[in-house]
Amino acid sequence: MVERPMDERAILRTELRWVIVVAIAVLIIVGSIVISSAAVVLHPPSSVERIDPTTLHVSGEFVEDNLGAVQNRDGSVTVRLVATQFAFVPNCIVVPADRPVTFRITSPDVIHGLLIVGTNVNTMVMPGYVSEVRTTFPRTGEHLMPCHEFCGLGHSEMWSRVRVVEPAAWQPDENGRVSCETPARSPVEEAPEETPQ
Amino acid sequence: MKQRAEPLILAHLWVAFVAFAIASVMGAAQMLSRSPLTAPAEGPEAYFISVTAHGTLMAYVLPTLFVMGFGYFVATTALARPLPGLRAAWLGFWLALVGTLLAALAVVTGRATVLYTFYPPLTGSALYYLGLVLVVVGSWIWIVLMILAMREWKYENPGRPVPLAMFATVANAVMWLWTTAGVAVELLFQVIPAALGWKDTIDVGLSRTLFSWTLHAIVYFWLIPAYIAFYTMLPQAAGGRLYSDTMGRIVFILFLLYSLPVGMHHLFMDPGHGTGFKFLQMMLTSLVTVPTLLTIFTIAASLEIAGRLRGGKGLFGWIAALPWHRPMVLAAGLSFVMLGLGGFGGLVNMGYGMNAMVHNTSWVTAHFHLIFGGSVVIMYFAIAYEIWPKLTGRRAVGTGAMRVQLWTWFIGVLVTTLPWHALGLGGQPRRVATFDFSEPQIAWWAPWILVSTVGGALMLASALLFIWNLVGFHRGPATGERHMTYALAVHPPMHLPRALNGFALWNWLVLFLMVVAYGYPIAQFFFVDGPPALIQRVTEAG
Amino acid sequence: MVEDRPPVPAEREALDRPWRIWASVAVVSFVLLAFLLGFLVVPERGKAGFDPFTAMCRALGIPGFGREPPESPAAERAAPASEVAWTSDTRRLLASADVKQGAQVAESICLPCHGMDGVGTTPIYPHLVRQSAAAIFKQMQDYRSGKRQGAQAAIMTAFAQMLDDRQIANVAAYYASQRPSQRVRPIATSPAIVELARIGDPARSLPPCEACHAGSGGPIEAPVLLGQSVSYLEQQLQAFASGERRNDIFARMRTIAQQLTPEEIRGLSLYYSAGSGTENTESDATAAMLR
Repeated sequence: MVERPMDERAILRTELRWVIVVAIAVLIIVGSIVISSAAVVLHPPSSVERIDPTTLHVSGEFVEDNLGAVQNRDGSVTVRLVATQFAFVPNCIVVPADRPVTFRITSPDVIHGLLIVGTNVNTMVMPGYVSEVRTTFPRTGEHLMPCHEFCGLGHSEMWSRVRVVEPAAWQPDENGRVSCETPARSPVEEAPEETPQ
Repeated sequence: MKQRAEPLILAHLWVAFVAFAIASVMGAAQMLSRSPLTAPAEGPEAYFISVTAHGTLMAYVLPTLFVMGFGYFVATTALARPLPGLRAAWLGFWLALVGTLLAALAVVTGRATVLYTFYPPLTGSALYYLGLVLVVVGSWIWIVLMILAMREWKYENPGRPVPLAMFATVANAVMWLWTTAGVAVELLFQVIPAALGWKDTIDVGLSRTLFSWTLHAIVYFWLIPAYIAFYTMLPQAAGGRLYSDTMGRIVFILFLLYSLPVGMHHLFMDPGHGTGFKFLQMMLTSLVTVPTLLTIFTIAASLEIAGRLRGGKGLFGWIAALPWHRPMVLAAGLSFVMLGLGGFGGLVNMGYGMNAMVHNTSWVTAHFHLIFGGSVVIMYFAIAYEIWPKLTGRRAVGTGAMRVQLWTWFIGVLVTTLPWHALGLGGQPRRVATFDFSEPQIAWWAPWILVSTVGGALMLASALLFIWNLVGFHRGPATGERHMTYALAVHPPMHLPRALNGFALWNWLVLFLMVVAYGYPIAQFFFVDGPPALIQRVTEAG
Repeated sequence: MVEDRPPVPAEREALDRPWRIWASVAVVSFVLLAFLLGFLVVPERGKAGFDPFTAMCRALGIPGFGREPPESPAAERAAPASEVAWTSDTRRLLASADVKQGAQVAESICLPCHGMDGVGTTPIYPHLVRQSAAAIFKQMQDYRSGKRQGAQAAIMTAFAQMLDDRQIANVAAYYASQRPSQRVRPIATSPAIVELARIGDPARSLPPCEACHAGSGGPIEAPVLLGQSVSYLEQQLQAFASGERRNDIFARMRTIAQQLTPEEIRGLSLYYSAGSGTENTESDATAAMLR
């Protein structure tokens, strides 16, 4: 049964050739990832920053009145979000297109996650950590932003919206803030904020 | 007084497959819940209890019990000697069974609706976690028995190569010991103390890191039986020989080495780790493609030998000449197709930057249902069809129902998972009970979900037919034929270096890799001061 | 073929050594390469704007090497919805609460309205039985600090200000230790209400009430609703909806209550009250009354 191509040395040689093919395949895979990480600076969100989840609402940057989109003094845009059971606070945000936006997100209770549908914005949100994601939205439009990690029985209803508007339409108020126009919420807002149109 | 191992093996496999059948029903019901159709029990509580049970049964009970039972089978047949410690093996079985029942009790009463991946600080009943620990402890007994069986055989056969099937089984046992360390530490030192009320906080960064230690290697623990079948059963069933025994050993060694230090690719999107260790583990992850790529070649070459022996001519003529009517050959062919599709999807998941497109979307669910539910479980079916006659001493009336079952499973898996891939790219999140299809942005998901629901129904039908087929063996005509033969290599090895006949060297290298890959990422939690999260108890049914 | 014989030790070693050496070399050099790339070449710099040292520390995952978050002037001026935080001090205080001393506080202050068994004496006074110590503690603290407004808050603020932290923890533990005298079941007035309570409404992003208020996960201060007085529940949902009451951390309840219709508020209140706090506790009669 053992013919010439089935010679032990022939088998070894054929296998070595295949090993070279495999090595090249792996090199291509790794190479493309290395190049994209080093050249395009394409990284997963990995800024390690700790925060006490029990006191978020009492003091610091994640107090209720400080959440949402804001234009900082240096002109950069920061969006602060709290992912809580079972809503993002605020549950609608508005950001300018074509400008770098930094999301800072944390959780006071359990693990959550978020993705902005149609973009590469995707991060876990963990109690005890601040997740920081930087992105630029190239186009205007509205995106859904669901919670993508099981956070309890209300998880399926934890959806919010990200509205991307023309940079000119994104007009901060005197505190630098811009919020969605949500009629159901406006009666409770102490100082109704201007909405961009 | 020589006791037989068949009842032990059958007990393991039957528990595994009954768990599988129950979980299949739940899976189909969950798909109805997510679809625009009406599910038998709507609402998040029913859905998440079902998801928890489905995951627990499919990820912990089915593979663990199957691998244990199959391991005992290989140890008795490939080594042709009685199993050492049959009583201990039964103890392991009962621990696993009792553990399964305790965990199931906690889940179905709504006291452990935390999904099978736990998600602390959500904390369910301690019964759930203790039940799972019992399952793991039962499998630890199996590990010891597998190592002992190989060691005794080597003592009796000095200098001879351990049969490949047993070598691979012990590779899996050794890997499983390493694998379970992460989740065992998480459960015993973090989650169970919290569930018992001894602690009211938990560091979720640490618990997620420990779980990731287990989370990827466990997938290879599930997978290795399929590879054992590729190397030692498929060439035999196809009527040929294994192309290379040495390559088989190297493949299983590579699985042992590279399935462990890679779990952090499940944490790419976590804020708990820097880019460096994520990158390192991504690099190591790229190496787990190597054993699969090597296998594709070796198995294709082995099948070519069989095809040509059966008269196949030409470049591809040997493929048509293969005995596709045999369940093992058919299942392996279908398995390779699913492995190819799933492997491509896996490249996106492991992509250090690309992962952001698909993390925690249906893409991931699709990926592991295609790889595990598809290419691995279909080989569990084939293995069962192959060894059931040896275990019962009876044969089936015919193989037609088996072929129908395998094809239905294959089609069901593809129809289920291909739409999920598309939905995942479209941003559909995992682990959601119901969707608001009136929302215009996601209205287009509905028809795709319906298609996948049809696939789920096909998978359920196939799962039930599988159980029916197994029962058929027990009622089939007695043959008394219990002898199992494994495929021989074209050139069976005479002497092997220790490195290809044991695991000492590889265990040292695994230790090195784990210290490098997980040393600092775990150690940081002990010297970086981080405020923990509050335990949140899931104590009652809603 | 020659019958195989076990190799002698010297042959054995010659067979083993290359494997040992080359396997180790391969594994270690790949790891070194990955380290070099992961910690020196690839770390975020260039466009991300980090210097090499910071980028390396970030790659290692050492906290404190992120960008300084921009100043938040609003954060300093902000008034929190509640000053209660579940810090280790608060948890220790609750864990060490004394039920007996709590009973004395209950007897001297709470008894006329909430009873010793935690059952409200008139429908407008909430039942305290079935509530966790954390839930009662949080509300008492909010009354004391004036964070909880609306309905009878003024009365409660006056009482709460008579107590210190420890007394509040004690009385919360006392009422949490009371066992309800009977099992209660929700009153289903319509399928839509049951669905709201148990399934939620994804179209309005409304999670099911059960997700937080039934012991199956949820913020630890979330009260149990089942068996609460109907008028109290309705009044509080209205207060959340109008914004009169705003001591819910991160506006969790305000956001939800604003989305509910008055009919839904009534239906849900009745559903959870299980008839408690209505004139007639016969469930059919209350259901009829609602219609």
